[in-house]
Amino acid sequence: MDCHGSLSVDFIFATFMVLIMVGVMSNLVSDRFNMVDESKELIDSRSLAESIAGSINQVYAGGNGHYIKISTPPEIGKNSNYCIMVNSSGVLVRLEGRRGMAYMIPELISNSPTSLKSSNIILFPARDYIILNKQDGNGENWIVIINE
Amino acid sequence: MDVTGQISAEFIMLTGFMLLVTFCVAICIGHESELIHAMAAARSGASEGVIADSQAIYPDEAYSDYNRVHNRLISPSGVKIIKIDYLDQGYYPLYNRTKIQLRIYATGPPLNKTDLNCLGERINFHARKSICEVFKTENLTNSFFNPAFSDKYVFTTGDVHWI
Repeated sequence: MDCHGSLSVDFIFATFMVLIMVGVMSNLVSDRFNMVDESKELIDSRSLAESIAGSINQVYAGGNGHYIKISTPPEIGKNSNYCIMVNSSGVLVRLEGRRGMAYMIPELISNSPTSLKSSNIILFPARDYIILNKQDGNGENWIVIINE
Repeated sequence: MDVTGQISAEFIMLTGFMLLVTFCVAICIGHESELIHAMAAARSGASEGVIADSQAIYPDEAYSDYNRVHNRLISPSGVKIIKIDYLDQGYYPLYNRTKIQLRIYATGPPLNKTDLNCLGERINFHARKSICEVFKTENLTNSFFNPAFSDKYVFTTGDVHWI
């Protein structure tokens, strides 16, 4: 009996069923991948905001003259279009129409070590910054954030 | 006697019967698999909602609203899905589909009821959105993805049960 080039009905049917199942599940799998990417972005955003707030708290606790250098990542997830705002309310991260806030202890934030005044400081991706604790004439401790 | 190209009558009957059974099972599985896929999509979406709640990273509008009214939600909350089940509410003639209500059970921080509702709404929203995205029915529903559609089902969500 010639047995070359023959396929059983079972095999053809099973292959057909597998192909149908793969087709049906592809949407679900792609949805899961998207979800993982988006979730990673959210977690990285929160982590970055908390990390900066933590550094600011650490500098504040260190007292006058204490400073820390920080670097902002070039992108969050696959998104390089993010920004971080630091003001007396806390550290606000903005990413693709989403926002999240990390609270911090100090309320006096300035962008200049020479003229201390309350400021809204924006940190951009892939930059280096110095967070400095500086005391004013009234004994108040200010957090100064400057671009290195 | 020529023995090539012959199969027994038993084999033909058995194969025919097996094919018949397989087709029947395949039809049943196909019908059920849509609901299974929709539930898997709902679970995936609910997880996304939980992560958004847990990390407290919200869309701009929601953030502004929470900043004014639900200030506690600006901080991260530990939210976890316990289970997701559904209630078959029968055929719904308006949409020509079977109506399914999703019921999500979750644990969260000890917040007041309105804050918990906000967290729950986000979980429900992402669950419905995920169903619409998987079945590509975003064009059939509104911007809240309520209700969400698959080919044979229409999905709504009840309030999240906080345990």
